[in-house]
Amino acid sequence: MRKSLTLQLVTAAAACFLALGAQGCKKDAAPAAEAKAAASAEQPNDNKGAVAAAAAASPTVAAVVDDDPGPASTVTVWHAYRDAERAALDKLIEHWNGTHKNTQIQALSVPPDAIIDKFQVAVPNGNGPDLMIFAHDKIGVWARDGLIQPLGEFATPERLKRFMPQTVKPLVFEKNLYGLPLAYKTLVLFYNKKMVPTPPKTLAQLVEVAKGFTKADPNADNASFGLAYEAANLYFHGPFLLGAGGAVFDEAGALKIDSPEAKKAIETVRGLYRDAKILPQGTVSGFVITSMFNDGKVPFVLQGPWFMGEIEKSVDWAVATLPELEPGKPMRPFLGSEAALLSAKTTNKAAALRVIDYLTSDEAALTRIDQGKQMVANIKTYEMPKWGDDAVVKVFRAQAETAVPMPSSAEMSAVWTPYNAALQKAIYGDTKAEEALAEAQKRAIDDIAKMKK
Amino acid sequence: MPPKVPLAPPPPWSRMVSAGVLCALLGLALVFGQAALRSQQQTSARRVGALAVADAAVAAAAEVDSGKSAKLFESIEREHQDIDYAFAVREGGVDEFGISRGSEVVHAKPPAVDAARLLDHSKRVSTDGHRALEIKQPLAVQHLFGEMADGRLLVAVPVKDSSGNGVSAVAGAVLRKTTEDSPPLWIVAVLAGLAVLLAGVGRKLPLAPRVVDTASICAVVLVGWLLAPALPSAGPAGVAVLGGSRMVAHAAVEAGGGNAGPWLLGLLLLAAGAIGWLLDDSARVFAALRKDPVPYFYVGPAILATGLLIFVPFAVGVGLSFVDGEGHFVGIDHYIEVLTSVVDPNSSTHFFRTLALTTLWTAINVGFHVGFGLGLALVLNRPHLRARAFYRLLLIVPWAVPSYITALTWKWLFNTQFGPINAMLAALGHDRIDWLGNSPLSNFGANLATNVWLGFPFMMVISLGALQSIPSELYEAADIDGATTWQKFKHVTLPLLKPALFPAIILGTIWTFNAFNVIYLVSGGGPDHKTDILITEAYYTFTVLRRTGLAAAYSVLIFAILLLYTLITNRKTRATESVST
Repeated sequence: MRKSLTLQLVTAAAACFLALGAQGCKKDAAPAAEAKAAASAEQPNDNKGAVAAAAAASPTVAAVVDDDPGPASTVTVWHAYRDAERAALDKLIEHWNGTHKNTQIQALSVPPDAIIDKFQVAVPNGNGPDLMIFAHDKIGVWARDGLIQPLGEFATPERLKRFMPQTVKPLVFEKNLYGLPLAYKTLVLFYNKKMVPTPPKTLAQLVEVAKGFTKADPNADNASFGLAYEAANLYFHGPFLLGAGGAVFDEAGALKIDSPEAKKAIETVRGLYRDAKILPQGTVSGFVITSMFNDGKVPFVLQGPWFMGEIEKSVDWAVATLPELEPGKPMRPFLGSEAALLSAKTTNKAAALRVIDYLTSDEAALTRIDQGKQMVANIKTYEMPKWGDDAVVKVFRAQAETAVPMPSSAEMSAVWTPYNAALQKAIYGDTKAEEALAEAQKRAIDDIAKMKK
Repeated sequence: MPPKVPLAPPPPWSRMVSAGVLCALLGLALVFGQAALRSQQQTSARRVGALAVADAAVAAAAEVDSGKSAKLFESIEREHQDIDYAFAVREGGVDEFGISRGSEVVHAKPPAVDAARLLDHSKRVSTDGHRALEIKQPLAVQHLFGEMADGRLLVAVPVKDSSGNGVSAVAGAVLRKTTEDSPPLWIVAVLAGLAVLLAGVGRKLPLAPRVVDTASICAVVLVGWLLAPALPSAGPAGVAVLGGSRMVAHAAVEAGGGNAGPWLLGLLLLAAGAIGWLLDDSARVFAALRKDPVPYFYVGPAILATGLLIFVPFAVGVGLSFVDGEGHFVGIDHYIEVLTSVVDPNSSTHFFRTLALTTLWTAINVGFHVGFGLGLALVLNRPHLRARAFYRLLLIVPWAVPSYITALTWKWLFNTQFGPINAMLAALGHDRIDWLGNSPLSNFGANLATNVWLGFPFMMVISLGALQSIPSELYEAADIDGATTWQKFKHVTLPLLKPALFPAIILGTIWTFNAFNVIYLVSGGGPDHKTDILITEAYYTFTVLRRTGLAAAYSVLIFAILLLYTLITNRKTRATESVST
């Protein structure tokens, strides 16, 4: 018994190391294809028949399928996609694998909560993927830690021209481009058409309408609210903060959490919560918001493209660009540019770059928007009437014009926790906005100082 | 219990053989450690020389506008035999996306060093406009040195721009490869033989075997240490081993500020001492193995699995706590950082405050676990209770459900607007409470409720089992003596529960101390880290602060605390000793 208890003790302590030492899933050992060919600007020649809509193909598509140079290899791709997005990606990969004898793509879907840790642990041990599909906001940290590498000469101006510029810019960190964009994500206003026929243009109008739907009732089943969003989360607070002209970092890149604009933004939300009383009491999770919207208990929610897959069929919904805070001052959400990033430890750079090119091609984009419901980054897609005139797509495109890319610096990762705490305190608690923000500023500075340099 | 059969004394040669094997291993580490150290020192010397080259390259780069630079570079390459080529690069512009384009190579042969990445303070040399230099380790501008994939060293010097803030150019050189010396392997055999000899002679002395082993192994290490630098080189045989030792030597060089000898020797002596101390046991195991190998055959797979799954990660974790994120040896810096963190309200991590909270959290939890568990067990143990199996099943359910599902369910129960707990409060006319909001107390309470729910069934099952094994004659005897219910509980039930309950409490304490799931999923440590326990704080340093070494130091400290707790409790209660009759 004595020995086994000691063992138990060691087990408990070892548990925390397992997270650190955990091995990522080993990819097939592919003989290292020399990276030298990577830089030469190969044109995609593998999209023929990728999608039904290939008729609108770009002029770069060659007729020949599969003449991959070099030895046989496997390109591993990690992503956090689920449902439709995953199905669309799988379809693209299946097509590639069917038409390429030499290079095969192997995808691994990792839950969103786990993918960051897994990637950060696996790559330094040499077990990571060749490509990582993720939003741009981790680029700063990963580039600094040497987990991803710049695309270098592969990023020719011709290649970059096929994307909306605001989806490419966030992928640049310290003057280097780290990936090509697949899709962008921003918040928009989702509303229930049965409850609200026309969307509000200003926040004041929204509050007016929302008040009519707010009904406090001790029985939670009967209560309803005017607006629901994750108010104590900086990402969802973004439209208020950025719309008021605030930011997390100033122009020089210095941390500036406790700005007057940030204070004003919190006070606006506090007004919605305390005075207009259109928000539910206490913090609400995304899950609760979804069920409220599906049950017709709230006409307005602030959500992104992922929300479309969560709305029940019975709900008659539509989207609109976020209302103006004041006349001429629109709410501005954060923009996340989702990209295929190149691992620093890839042994297969040439093939990996070809896969990036394929996944971000205009033809692949059609599959992704059609089946994956992604707001793709490719400009050409929106020149097609089917997508250019689509009511939902139009709103997201318009919103992308005012959206501000999320900061991607390594410092930003130390901002989320204290900022969210400040929002929680100042919106739901009795702490004054400026005090909460000043505290968050101090905390973030402290954490940044402690961070790995 | 069968009578104990005394073990035969270990055969005289067994100790010598095991001493020899272990000494051979030690000798290997020793010799190659020394050699690696030497090559590290040689490298340092080369680096110092290379810096002079880099400075010359900077000067040459400065002359680019006057057209003299090409000649200057040529003369640098002529004068310094140990460099492949010198280079200099200047910053180009950026395109509409802010991507660096066309950085200008002032001089490089082959025409190839990437400038852009060096120029913008980023950490490694890579592609952009120029062919990539394959660099193994990140090259920080302030580091000046990088190792290229083919083993060549690269030295680079950033040239400040006129404002003094930015970097306008990078100049430097790529050093030629040198061959490395490695020592012969026969020295290992010599050292092993010496160890066998010493251990054999030592047995004749009137000393405890442990002392002899420890002393002789330490002596071997010292002899090897003194001998190693004088050895001739051995060619490719040792190169593979050298690679591994190099890392250790590199760490040691960093730690010792260039004079790493004492560090290495100290580590080796420590290892030698530990092995010598353990040899005594190993000899006994050896003898037992010879007598009856079957039991060892049975436990072999388990030992192997435990070693691989528990002890190896544990050892790696301990090792991690001594190195920083870039693999540099930092000694006990991480422990100092953790233990000296003063209670600063603006800090996200403060060890002692969190330790106090964790202790409180554990004490309250285990108190409730034992209280509820024992209480329910007493109720369930009533002889005439109907449907006892059903109740028992019902009460074990919280234990059977995966803890994260339970935690998420409780989180939902505590939801402010829609949670059933607040719905009950509202129905009673009470205001809704923002349980997981801004109050540390309500957050703590929510965590506590969840973990009490998760923890009591274990104590209940343990108590119930122990209760059922108490012979009813004891109660009958107590009844005859006229004992009250309380007296029976205190003098009969409790003492007989102890042997089962104390180990359970130790286990429960360890689990609760590290109840990561509950804290992470229910309050998330909020508000503002005020309900963090040590393990979630360690997780924060790992995920948000990205300080692997610091997180590892936390884990080692948690282990130490729990080990201490277990040892003390064990000594006081003899809880984990098997009950001998």
